[in-house]
Amino acid sequence: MNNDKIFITGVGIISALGNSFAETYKSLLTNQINPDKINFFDCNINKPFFKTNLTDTQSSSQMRTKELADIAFFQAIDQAKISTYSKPDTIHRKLKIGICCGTTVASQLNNIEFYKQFREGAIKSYDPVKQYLAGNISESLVHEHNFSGPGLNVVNACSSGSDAIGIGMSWIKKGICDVVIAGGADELNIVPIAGFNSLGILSDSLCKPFDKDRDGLNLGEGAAFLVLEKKSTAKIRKAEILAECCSYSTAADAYHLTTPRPDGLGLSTAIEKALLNANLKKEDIDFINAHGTATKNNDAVEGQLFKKMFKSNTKIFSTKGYTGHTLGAAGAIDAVLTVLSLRKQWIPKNAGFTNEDPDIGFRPVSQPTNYNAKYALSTSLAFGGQNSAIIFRRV
Amino acid sequence: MQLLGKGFANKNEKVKNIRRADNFAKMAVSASTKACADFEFSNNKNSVSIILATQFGPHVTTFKFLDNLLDYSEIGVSPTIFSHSVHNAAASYIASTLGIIGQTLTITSFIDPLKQGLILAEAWLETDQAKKIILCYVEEESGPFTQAHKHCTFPSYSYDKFRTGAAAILLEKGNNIEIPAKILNPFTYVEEI
Amino acid sequence: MPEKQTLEEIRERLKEELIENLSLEDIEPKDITNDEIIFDENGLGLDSLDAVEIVVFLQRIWGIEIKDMEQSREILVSIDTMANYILENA
Repeated sequence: MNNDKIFITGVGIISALGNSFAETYKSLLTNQINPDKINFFDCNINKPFFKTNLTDTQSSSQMRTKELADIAFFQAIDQAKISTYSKPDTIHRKLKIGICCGTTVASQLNNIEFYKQFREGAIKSYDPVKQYLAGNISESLVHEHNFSGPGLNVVNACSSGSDAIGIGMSWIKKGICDVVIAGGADELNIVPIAGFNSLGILSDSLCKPFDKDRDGLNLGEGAAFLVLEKKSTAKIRKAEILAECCSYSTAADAYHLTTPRPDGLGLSTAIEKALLNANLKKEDIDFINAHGTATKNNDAVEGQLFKKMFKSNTKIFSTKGYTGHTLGAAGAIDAVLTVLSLRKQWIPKNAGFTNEDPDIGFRPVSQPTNYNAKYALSTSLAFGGQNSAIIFRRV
Repeated sequence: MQLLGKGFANKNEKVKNIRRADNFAKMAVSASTKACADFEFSNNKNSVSIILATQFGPHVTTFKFLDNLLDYSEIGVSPTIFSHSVHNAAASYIASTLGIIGQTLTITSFIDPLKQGLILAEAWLETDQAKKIILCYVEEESGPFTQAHKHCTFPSYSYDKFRTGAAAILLEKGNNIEIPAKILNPFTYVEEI
Repeated sequence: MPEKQTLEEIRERLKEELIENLSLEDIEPKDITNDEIIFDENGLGLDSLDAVEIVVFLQRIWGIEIKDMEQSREILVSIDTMANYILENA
């Protein structure tokens, strides 16, 4: 069995918390919460947003999402000692490396200027289409770095980042890849901003995950990747093992397009299957990095289920007060922050939380906390009633 | 893998009881329902999985949303159109129509997405993450893409032209299907297996 | 709004807009009564996504701003409650 275990040997992250793992940790230690206004396109929706400090990329030949993905991708492969196309070496050539990336924005041709020209019957340039066709993040990363494994984008809305990690694990277990670089990336873009605003779930203020007075989410942008592989291949490159990726599961609500199932059946199914796959009991989970978007519905479903399912001293935390909801990147950003928490044996405070919600019945981690944890669970819920769960182990 | 059933749908599919669903989702639901027509999942709905594969996803609806943005500004857009422009809406409709609560994923790749779906399906079946899998391929042409097709090189299945429709297969463990090296046309592939 | 609509005109327009924007199947304006509770399962059986869709078209057509869920729960009850609110506030 030991040989089948999948480990994380590299992580990369960019979000409103910073441009690297080290910057992210520093920002969390100093409780940096930096919402901002959108300044790289016109936006009349005046809500707080969590943007990265990536400069305006509108004139770039690449999509902003791909630029975010690149930043996180290079950190992850550097840490895992995977050399890229420009630095060929034999070990890298022998490994079958695949890429699986979650996204929402990069899957759509949502260039408004192009579409406007189309409506007017006067398309001036097809460059936006060409950019879109060249912009499938996973395929372009595989192509650019000359990897021999598959490149696949997961478009499972807000759980895509977690699902990409799950697919990566399946590819390794099945022997399709030796190494998978899995994660997610999404940019702040007018389409999801206007869409979430129309659904009435954007908060006017900083989001308050699990708080009694939570009133909606904040959108953010970012990217994160994790390098997944078995110990045998990590050993060849002398890559450090950062954590174990024990199991993944996902389940559908079969309930509603935009509302989570109130009884949490899909989420509990996903968690129970993930526990079963990892051969663990509920009591083994010390820390839960919740989806915790701070909408009324999401936090009620998650909170009530966690309260019912897990031991009372399980630490529960949401990243969204620091990063906003980064959509297709969220599951991957949460995964990297879960690895950070397990490695540092430390949990930041759940930003935005003040008052306990009697309908939920617990307080998330409300002060930075040192702890002793072995297993952590990360959950993601998405549009369409998708629920995903990943379990990590400290090494 | 073992093929248990297949189903197809075209553009003008009439599907009842999913009133809000766009054409993309209706095609997906119709093809998937036909593929599962001979099976009753009532006892093991969490061991049935759904994989929806597409090159481009529901772009007709995405462009409707852009119409909204241009016509009514970002503060007057339709939340219904937005939610259907999210790529996994169709898989969500398959799950709720058939009552399936297993693993549900939507994947895109420009190169051979149906083959990617087959590879993932086989991995899930062999690692016991699912007992049965509905694999559904859906594509829908739209004005901007049809026009762009004359000026840009489109990849894989859409290289020569856009094909609109859905094809679904129901799979379980077995060995009457080998994953091909390359699928040229997803609809012909499903017809011929 | 070019001219002030009567209550009856608003009701009729509302019914047409509900059918169109919410893609209601096999329903005509005459099938919707003015006082039926639209979110009730015995009525039109609408849900939370329909509610936010109604908020959008009330704004587009009549310029009605509904600020929060609480206000929406008071106004979006039946054709009558919506029509009366539009008559007074449009």
